[in-house]
Amino acid sequence: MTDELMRSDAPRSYQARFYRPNSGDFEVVSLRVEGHTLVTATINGDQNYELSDLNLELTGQEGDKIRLTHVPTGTSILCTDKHLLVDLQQHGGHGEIGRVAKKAHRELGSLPFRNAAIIWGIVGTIVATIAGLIFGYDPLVNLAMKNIPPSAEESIGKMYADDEKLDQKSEEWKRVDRIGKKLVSKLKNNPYKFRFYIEDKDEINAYAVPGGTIVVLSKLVKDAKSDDEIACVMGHEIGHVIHRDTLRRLMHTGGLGLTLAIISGGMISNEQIKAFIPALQKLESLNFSRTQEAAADKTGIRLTVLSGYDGAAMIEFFQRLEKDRPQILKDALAIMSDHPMSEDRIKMIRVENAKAKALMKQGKDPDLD
Amino acid sequence: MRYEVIHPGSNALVQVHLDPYEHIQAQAGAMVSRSEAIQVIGTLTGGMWRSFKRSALGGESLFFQELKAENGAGEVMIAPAVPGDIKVLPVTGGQDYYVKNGSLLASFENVTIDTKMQKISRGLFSGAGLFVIHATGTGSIAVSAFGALIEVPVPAGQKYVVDNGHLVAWYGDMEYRIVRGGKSWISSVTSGEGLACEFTGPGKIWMQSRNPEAFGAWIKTFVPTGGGVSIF
Repeated sequence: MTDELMRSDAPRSYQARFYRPNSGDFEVVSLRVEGHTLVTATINGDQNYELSDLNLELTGQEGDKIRLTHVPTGTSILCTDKHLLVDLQQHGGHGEIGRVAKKAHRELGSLPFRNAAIIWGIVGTIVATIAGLIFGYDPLVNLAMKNIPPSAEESIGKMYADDEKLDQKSEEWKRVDRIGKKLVSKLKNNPYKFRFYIEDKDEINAYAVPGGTIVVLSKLVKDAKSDDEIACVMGHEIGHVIHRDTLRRLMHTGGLGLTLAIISGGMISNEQIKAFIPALQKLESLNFSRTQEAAADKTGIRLTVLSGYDGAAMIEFFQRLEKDRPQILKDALAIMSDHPMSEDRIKMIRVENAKAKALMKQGKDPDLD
Repeated sequence: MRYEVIHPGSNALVQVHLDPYEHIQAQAGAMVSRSEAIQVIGTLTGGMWRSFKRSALGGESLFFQELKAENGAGEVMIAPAVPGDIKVLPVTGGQDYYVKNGSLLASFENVTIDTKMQKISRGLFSGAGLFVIHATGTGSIAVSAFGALIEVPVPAGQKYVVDNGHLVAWYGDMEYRIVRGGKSWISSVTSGEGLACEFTGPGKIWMQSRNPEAFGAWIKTFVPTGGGVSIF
């Protein structure tokens, strides 16, 4: 293109924006370089500027605008056509404007590569951060958890259990409390003071909060076909408590926000941190959650069998849950669920149940760690 | 095609008169009313990649709606979700515009809407986001504000500082950098001004009189919160 321009006889014209001194408004002008003069065709006629009186720089949001400032008057002319730089280079010769135009032309040419490098840099940083969170975050969290005593864990748990919503009076609660106490009586070296609650909710679920509080949702108790099924679910939640899973999860989630805040020196707003966290948290928690859920299942089944309940009841419970779920939901859960797939769980539960029963027959207790 | 802002101020909307077969692009959900001749078509303006960038990176809707006078001349009215003023800005003479996420209401005639990545420091601290909307071509764009929309011309070489939450749009001819809102870091924090954008002229900036994030934070103080951890 440079050679083509240099061969052309007629001066090339460029569309540009003409800013008069002390004004933020522009006038659209036509621009051309003739000899050592820059000619601007405005509504008031042509205006000529000596090239030696012009100061050239790249400006604008992207650094892709050519700005010519007429030093004696303060008039500014902005143009986006980089061929103007070739003209200025040719007509400016070895003078200041020719030298600066050459340099600016080179800079404009490298702009797309620079932007691509920045984008790949950001993508690389995000990938590295996610990889770091998945592979490097666990050891740090485990180290931090060693310094949190069960009493502190209990205090954290109290913040999460909403006493006003929880029931410790009903017949359902008496049933859950009886089963729970039977289960925890089999734990050795238990540092936790377990408390069991019912929450009135139309959902088959249960949850544990740090420090030994276990909440069973009312629909689960109503729908349970036997004490064995409730014991299996509660055994799973007790497994989470003794593995300190809920505390670990809280530290992971809180740690993500804290890490971003520390890296940014506290300069990223809470709103901006919130925008980043959910995606990272979901990816970061996938592997973590599946591992923890499988471990809680193992401990839960062993504890259930040790307490005299039938661990196989968990299988019936899962099969009923599966039947109630539409296929599309099952597929979604298989991809992004916090839990291992139910079929895999059923296989594992069957094996653990058989193993625990065999050990009991030999007069040995299954390992709960 | 003729367009004008009616009821300027906090309840502004844009009234557009279209000649047969003319069309405009408006943010999805922005249409208030239309005459019978106008057809509404959901469209990925600028193609799939640009639409994806605009949606995922720029915070704008994936689908822009195309409002087209298919059956003769007609009229359409469009309005933003938030109460505030609207201005129609001419895109001409190669002047491009940068618009903060969510503030672009519509584009008229041959305007191309794309997403541009800002420098990291600007993206994180300007309040405009890492990716901003970039409008180029020939025609006009309608930008909306939360509150009043104020136009500030900045002469060549002069500087003008805007609090990052109040920024709406600016000329592509302008440069800006992130600066402390106060004289020192301590005064920036204690004055509540934090960070701001310092623009250098020549060019124009459009600002909104209210900061949506600050307003949202204020509303949040009245909303009861709660929650739990379900893990089974």
